Amino acid sequence: MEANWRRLRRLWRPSVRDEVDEEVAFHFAMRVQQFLDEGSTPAEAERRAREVFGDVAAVRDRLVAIDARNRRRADIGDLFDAIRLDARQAARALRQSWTHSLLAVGVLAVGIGAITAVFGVVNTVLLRPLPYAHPERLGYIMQDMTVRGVRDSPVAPGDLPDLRAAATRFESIAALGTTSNAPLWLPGSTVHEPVVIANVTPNLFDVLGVPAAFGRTFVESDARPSRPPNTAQSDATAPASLAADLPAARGVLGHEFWLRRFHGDSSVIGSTLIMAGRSVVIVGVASPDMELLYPASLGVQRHPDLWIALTLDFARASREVGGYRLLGRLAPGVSVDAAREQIDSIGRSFGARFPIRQAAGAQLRFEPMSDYLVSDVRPAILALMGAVLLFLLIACADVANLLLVRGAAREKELAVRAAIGGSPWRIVRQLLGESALLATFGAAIGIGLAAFGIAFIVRIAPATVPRIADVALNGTVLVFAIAAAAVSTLVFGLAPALRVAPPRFAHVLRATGAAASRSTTRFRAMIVVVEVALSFVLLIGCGLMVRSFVSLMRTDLGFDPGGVVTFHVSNFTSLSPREHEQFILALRDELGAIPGVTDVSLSTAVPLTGDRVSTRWGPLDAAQDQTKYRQGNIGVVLRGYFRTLSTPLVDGRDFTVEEERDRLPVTILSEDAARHLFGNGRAIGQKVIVRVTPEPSAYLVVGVAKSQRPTSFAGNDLPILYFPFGTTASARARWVVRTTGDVTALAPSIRAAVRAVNPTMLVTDIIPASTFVDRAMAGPRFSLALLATFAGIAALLAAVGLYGVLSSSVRQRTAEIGVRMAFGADARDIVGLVIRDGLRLSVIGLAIGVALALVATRAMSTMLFGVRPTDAATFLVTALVFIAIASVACWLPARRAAGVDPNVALREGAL
Amino acid sequence: MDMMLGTLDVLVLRGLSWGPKHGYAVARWIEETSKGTLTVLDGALYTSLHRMEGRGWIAAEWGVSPLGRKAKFYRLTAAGKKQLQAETDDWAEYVAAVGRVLRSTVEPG
Repeated sequence: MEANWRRLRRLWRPSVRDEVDEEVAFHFAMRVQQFLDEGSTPAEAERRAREVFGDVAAVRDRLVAIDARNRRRADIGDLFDAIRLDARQAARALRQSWTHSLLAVGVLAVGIGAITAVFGVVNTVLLRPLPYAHPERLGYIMQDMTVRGVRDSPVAPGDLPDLRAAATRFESIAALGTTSNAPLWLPGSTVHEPVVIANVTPNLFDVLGVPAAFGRTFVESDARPSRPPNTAQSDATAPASLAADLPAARGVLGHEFWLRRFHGDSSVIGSTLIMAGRSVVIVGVASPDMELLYPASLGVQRHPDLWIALTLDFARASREVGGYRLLGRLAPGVSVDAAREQIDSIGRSFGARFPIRQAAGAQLRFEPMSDYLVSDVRPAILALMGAVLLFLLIACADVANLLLVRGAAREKELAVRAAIGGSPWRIVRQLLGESALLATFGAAIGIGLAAFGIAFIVRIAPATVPRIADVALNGTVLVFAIAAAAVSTLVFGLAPALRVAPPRFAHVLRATGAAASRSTTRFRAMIVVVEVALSFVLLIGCGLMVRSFVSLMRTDLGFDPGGVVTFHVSNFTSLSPREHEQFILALRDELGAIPGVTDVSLSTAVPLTGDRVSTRWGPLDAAQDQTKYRQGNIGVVLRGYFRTLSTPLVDGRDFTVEEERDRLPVTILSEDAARHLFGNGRAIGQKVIVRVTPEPSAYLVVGVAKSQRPTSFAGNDLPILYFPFGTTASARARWVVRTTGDVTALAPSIRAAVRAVNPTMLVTDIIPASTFVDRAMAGPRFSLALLATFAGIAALLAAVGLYGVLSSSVRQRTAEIGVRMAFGADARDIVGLVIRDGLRLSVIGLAIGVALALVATRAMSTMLFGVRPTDAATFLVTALVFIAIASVACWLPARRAAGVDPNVALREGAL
Repeated sequence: MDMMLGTLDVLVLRGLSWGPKHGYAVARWIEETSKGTLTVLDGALYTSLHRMEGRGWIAAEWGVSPLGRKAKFYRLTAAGKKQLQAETDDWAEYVAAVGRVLRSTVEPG
């Protein structure tokens, strides 16, 4: 009370200076009067009063300073007193109903934990700036071929000089390409090791604005190196090299590789390594921040082990075959739209100069880096964020409900408080204080749960989400958790507080409590309706994901991954093409001899691996009309490829021994390629032209194979054209081996087989084909796992809420039920009465939920596969499931109602 | 005679020990009881009052003086009473010690 008074008075208290002035004025008046009484003249009295006071102005200032400080301290003290008092009262209140409090804390912890964990993902993947200087000025420059349905492809290296000259709105443009499994030889080593390399224009480090950790990054002259310091060639152990007479390239080591392979020894700078037969002089070590961030579908390696300065003469390079990823840095002050417009017009001018480009609808496109990097995953992440937000709201509604139950029990206590002078504000504050205490505990436990949640998310999230491995519980996420707790407090605390605080006190004190509780019950029913509606939205989301997942599982992959193991063999640089071919044929025989292995083959287009080599192809008359060219993926395969993957040939046959040996111009089309060109007509015996060799030439179609998917389930993949091995022997091909035995036990035999044929070869990426299927399903599985968890808990919370409201309504209506039974209603009628009540709430909730879901699921459209966001069947089934859950929640209190003894009920008689 | 440092506070506390007084009354009480021996600048007295209010030894409240003017009255708080007691004891001990030294007949060394 006293504290309240002081707070009110503070509103119109005089300023410190006024108070001091008044006090001093009073003192002077008294002194002057004293001296007048002692016989002084007025002027003299005035003078003497000043004399005995000292320096009036200085003293006044000192007093004002002292008082201001005193006042500040007192205010802070009051505030702390108030908080301490509130907290003590809140703690006492919560202890009194500790089961409710425990439940509320648990529900809040799960809600806050969920939203915090998902926010961790949003923060790292969508919000955190890219690790480059001024990342907002960086962007990708890519090529589309609209006529051939190709997007985001690399740019031909020959375009770079013209592009740089014309792109005046850019400060600089870099080109790069990455390769994995590049064979690296270190001085003194006996074997090569597979590493990831990035071939980059020297300006890449400057474009990204990332400095070297040690040594230097590249300079322009690194693109035109002089003869090497002749160390590597004089090393007797150095491998034979076909490219030994090229001048040494300049390299920068990746930071992680440098730590791992050179144990952080900076004396490695200046030494020479051999990469694929070519000397590379190390000039520096890259910063740990140096990474290449690209959408996963573009296949750019994020963490190269070795950066090599390109020595390619771009001015004389091909303008036809795309090959390099371009990164541009905008000049300061240039808008994204201006950059887009310029790149677009440059692309059009290129098209005008090269008819083949015009025919393909080739176009250059600029995309800002930080947006485009996450454009594939943003909708799904935001949809999940929406789902956890709904989830937290449901948790809040549940806690509000719990508080109301308690509030009803405490109405008398609060009414007494009000009657003895507790202001409404004071009571609201006390209730909010209790809520805040609950939220504090909830947030503390929730943050702990979020740590687990983040670990779980990082483990099951698809690797295609950029920077997902970096997600962590950092400061920003903690601040978010606290903010979420604060907002939750207002959401779940304010409604019950306002509901309970201004009760008609006299009314509550006088009544048995029934009337007041009944209006609270109505309010709780509203909350339950909200819970039902929101959890229904989550259930719908979950149902749609289940449907998508089922469609994915049912998708015809065009092959059987069971029993198939894939792997890479590399390090062919020291082999002539002839030796390479002999090696492959020998390895085929060696692998075929492994016990349990039934089929062995090789392909540049193993399904779902993301391996792609695309080129243009078309009907014979495409040679005259270039707009008839389409884009397709090339599958260079060994005979028996289709048998190895159990891909049915729907027409024609596999390649013959002669076709393989003599490299005859024949092809097998995937079903979609055949349909595209020949419709329902027969493809076998027809000819198509394909650009496999530098000039397009004709190939005879000998077979049609069931379509496989090179990259993903849902992506609109290009059709595949298969050619016999030897047409273009590619080091990028993957071996595929079918075994009747255990796929995971095959690795040692595979390594032994390769060693037996050629011990210098590197075997990498021994992966069962089923792993690629799993990876392709990782995204939907991830969304499904999260949504199913949230939807399940949410449905449970809604059911518990429903149960709670019906239980207390049954308790309040005991007398009424007694009367009904006395007048002849039997148990069935009473059960029906209560269940009808419950189902009415559920149906209202469902109706609102359907309306909400129709809007909300639209955000999910990119996550769905084979099902529309408004799929009627899903809505119907989900609604039925929900009604079933609700019926159980209603049935329990209904049974209790039916068990009421009319005599007892009427005797208690609170009608 | 000038005041020794720190003694003003204890005098003011003592002056308030009979009940609430305004600053002028405290000043007059010191002048009269010391028969004019102790001269305190009024500014120093008020500084002492306000400082001790901050320390919680005295509390201030606006009231009406016997002559009907609005004045600020100070009263001892419980902490102030304890402080006064402690300082009075210290002072007595100090005076006694100084007295013993001055009256001493033992030659130093």
